[in-house]
Amino acid sequence: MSLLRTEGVVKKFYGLTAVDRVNLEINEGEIVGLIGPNGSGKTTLFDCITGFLKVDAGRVLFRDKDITNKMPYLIALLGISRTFQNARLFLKLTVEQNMMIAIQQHQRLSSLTALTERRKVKELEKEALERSDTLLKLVGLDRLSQEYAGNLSYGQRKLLSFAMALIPYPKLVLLDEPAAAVNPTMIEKTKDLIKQLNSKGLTFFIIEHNMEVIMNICDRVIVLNHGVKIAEGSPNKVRSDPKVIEAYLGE
Amino acid sequence: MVSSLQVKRIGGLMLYCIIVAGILIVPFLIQSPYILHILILAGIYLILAQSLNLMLGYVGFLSLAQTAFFGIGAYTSAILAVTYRQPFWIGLILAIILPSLIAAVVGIPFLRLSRHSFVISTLGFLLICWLVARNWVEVTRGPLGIPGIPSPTLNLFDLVEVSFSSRASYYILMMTSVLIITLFLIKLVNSRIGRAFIAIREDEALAQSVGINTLKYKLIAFSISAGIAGVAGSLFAHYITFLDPTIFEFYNLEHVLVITLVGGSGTIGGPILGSVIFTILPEVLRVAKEYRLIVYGIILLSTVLLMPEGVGGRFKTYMHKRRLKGVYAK
Repeated sequence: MSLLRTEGVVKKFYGLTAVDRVNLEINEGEIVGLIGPNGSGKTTLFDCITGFLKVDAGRVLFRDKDITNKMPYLIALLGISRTFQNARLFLKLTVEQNMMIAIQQHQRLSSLTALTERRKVKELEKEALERSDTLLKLVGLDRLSQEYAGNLSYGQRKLLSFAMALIPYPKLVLLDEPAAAVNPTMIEKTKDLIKQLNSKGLTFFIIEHNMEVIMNICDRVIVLNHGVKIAEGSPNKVRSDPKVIEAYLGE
Repeated sequence: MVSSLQVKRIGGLMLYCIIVAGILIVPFLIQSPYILHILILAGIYLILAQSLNLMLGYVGFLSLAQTAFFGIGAYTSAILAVTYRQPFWIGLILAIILPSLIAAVVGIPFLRLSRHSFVISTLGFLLICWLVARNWVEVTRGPLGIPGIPSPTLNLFDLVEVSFSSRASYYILMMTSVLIITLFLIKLVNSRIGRAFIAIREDEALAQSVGINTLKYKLIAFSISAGIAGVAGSLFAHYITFLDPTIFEFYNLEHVLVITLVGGSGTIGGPILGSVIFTILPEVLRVAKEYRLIVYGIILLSTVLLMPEGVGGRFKTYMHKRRLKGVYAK
């Protein structure tokens, strides 16, 4: 069954067509890579899927439900999480507070009861702290839980945003360059984590420039150039595709 | 055995009681109506500053409309008391509800804008309110103003009547309101709602991506802050007993901005400190009238340059660093 499908998605910025009629399909349990030269529209496509940008034409379907142009928070609550390219975090808050903010959005509790029903809130807060701790242990940041997110190294920030993306029990995680500017040990760790979570049934859609990561973990790769999908297939097939080589190296 | 946590809690409670008692005992120690007057005004500006602080310090949106809601609250209260002869308490409640509703309505377009555009749109709203107050003569009496706003009285089942006409009694009323609002705000910003506010302040896009309905929370904050400003307005009108459109003037706006920024937005203690400093300071500097504004300006400039997070913000960072040291020492 296809988990995510885009049908002819178009995004224009004034004269520039950043994403041009892209059709793609991601099946449950897959790890799909999205590659392409700089400015080929990869992040724009992510933004269109997650509702941060309004698409100009086409449809986005998640589990056969139309989610085109829905508000980002609704898409997040439906089960698509994402990370941002520059590892966005609440920098002035501690690691734990970052996690708590994300967790509480997925505990069903109306704003009004949050102010009135103390016992219920206490219970949920405890639950949230436990979950935060579990996830931080998973990515290996549990010892830094009281540190400000702004004091973390770049690699640690990426791990934290990864952990935050896992909070809503997502079905699909969109990772925007999880390995960029991260040291080799951290890359190995991220790769292991993705594989481990994938074996538990989580689907990944990953933008990455690091070809070694792509070759290693992806089942399938989609290539964009100037907003157009130019190739799709297994990592090895894509790597030898003349169109892809041309897009990266020029003629 | 009493655990250390319990000791801390009891200690905190005692400290709290001492502070409350200390604040409420002031009018019995100080008879000077001049000092009480200054303290009452400080209380009014403190409530207004806290309403600005909620928007600016916690949600991260600088709202210049807070003085507009202050004025709307004042006019609501004054008109109800003078034209419709309603008791103070009804005026106060409507002075909370009406600004909140107006904020919820104008907030829908305003809060969709970027932060910078929001500032300008709230400024526009303030100017419109000012114009309405000056020109809607049938209701507001325009520049003539509304004189003779009665002092609040509290009527308990027709048995006891408490009047707040004296300075000392008004001071008690003022400080009770300040305490209630401060406690409410402390609860609010430390709750799950407050956490969502802070998430929006830090990074709105990220807040959305973790599932926060940012517009909803911004509207909640704007509405609550408008209600708080309304309380300040109502208390102001009944204290001064005269109200005219100058309440919308920039003096009030500038004064609360300075209190909030120098005290430290994003902390509850900051504006309290700010309102104390900027109430006492102009009075102390009264002896050197010519230099007053200069000193005022120097303090403001040096805070912005040296402590952009304000005194309260600096203190908060310092406390966190100390706590971190404790965590790592373990």
